[in-house]
Amino acid sequence: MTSNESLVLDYLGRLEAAARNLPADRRAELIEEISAHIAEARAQSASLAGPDADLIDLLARLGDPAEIVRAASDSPALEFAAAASSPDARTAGAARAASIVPPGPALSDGPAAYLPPPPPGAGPGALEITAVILSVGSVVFLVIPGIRVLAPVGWLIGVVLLWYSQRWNTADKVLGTIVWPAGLGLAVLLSALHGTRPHLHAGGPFAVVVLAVLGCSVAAAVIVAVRLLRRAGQHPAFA
Amino acid sequence: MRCMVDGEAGNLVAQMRRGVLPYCVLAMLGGQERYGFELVRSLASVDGMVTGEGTIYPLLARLRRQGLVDTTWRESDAGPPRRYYRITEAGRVALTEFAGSWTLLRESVDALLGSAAPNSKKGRRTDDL
Repeated sequence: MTSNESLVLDYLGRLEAAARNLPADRRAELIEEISAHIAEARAQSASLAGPDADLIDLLARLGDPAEIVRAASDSPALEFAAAASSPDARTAGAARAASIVPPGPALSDGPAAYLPPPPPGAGPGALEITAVILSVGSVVFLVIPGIRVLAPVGWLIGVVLLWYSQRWNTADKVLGTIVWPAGLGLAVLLSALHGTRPHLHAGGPFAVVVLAVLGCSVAAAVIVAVRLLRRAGQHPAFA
Repeated sequence: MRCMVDGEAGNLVAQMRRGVLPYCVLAMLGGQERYGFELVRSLASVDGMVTGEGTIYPLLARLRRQGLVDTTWRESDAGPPRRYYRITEAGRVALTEFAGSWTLLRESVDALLGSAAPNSKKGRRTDDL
């Protein structure tokens, strides 16, 4: 029995030494709990043969005192448990959890930023491709003399499809809607200011500026079209 | 650096276990109050949940400080007095909260791990256009 006592005392001594950096109340509580655990185990196995072996096994199962104290000092679970119980952080936690599921564009423009994920195995659908070609791409119609008149109609249909689709968030939809009128509008505005019309064969340095603006808006349209198509094809696995 | 992948995965699993352990404890207290030794032994009997039984006590102390569990000392018929742990209302809220997040996370991870399988990827490509 004496050797048993010394085994326990030795163990608790090592625990106390390991716990010397803990706040006093936490150290006392920890030692109290571990002592109670040992006492309980010994009370329950008093009738068993080989108490020495039992005790050694008991202490081995409790683990290295240093490890117990480490568990008392580092607390990765602490923040999460605390977060779960405070209402503010709970919302943040829910948002974190929600962002696991959808492709999650990190835009804070309201609920539309979190889109329902596209059905598994979907790239950009026919609807999305048509929407992009018409809304963003119909600027190209403008430079083809025969179908120039179709450009506004195509744009309008494209924009309707763009907003109808579930694949984009509001920011993407606004971008797809304005890229074409914005570039064109700027060119027209510049021309109006100069009292000329944005004709391809109009001479003079100002026409060059207008053409440059038109060129830039075509480039912007291409970039937006690529972005929209990529977004529409985004799947959680690739996001 | 060479053994990084193995080490990191193992370390991650250990961290995940440590992260979910508080909620496993709360779940074990969901149905009934238990005293420390009983709780620790039941938890340790679940495969892979606990490495050292002693490390549960700091966790219990933390849950108590956070108000997620309550404790009372009570005499036992045989042996020393026992400290009984009981889940609080805040503990139940935290547990319910976690159970929801856990289900969501588990399903999402399962779905992603599943879609990483080679044959499901083939299925995706055919649907593209």
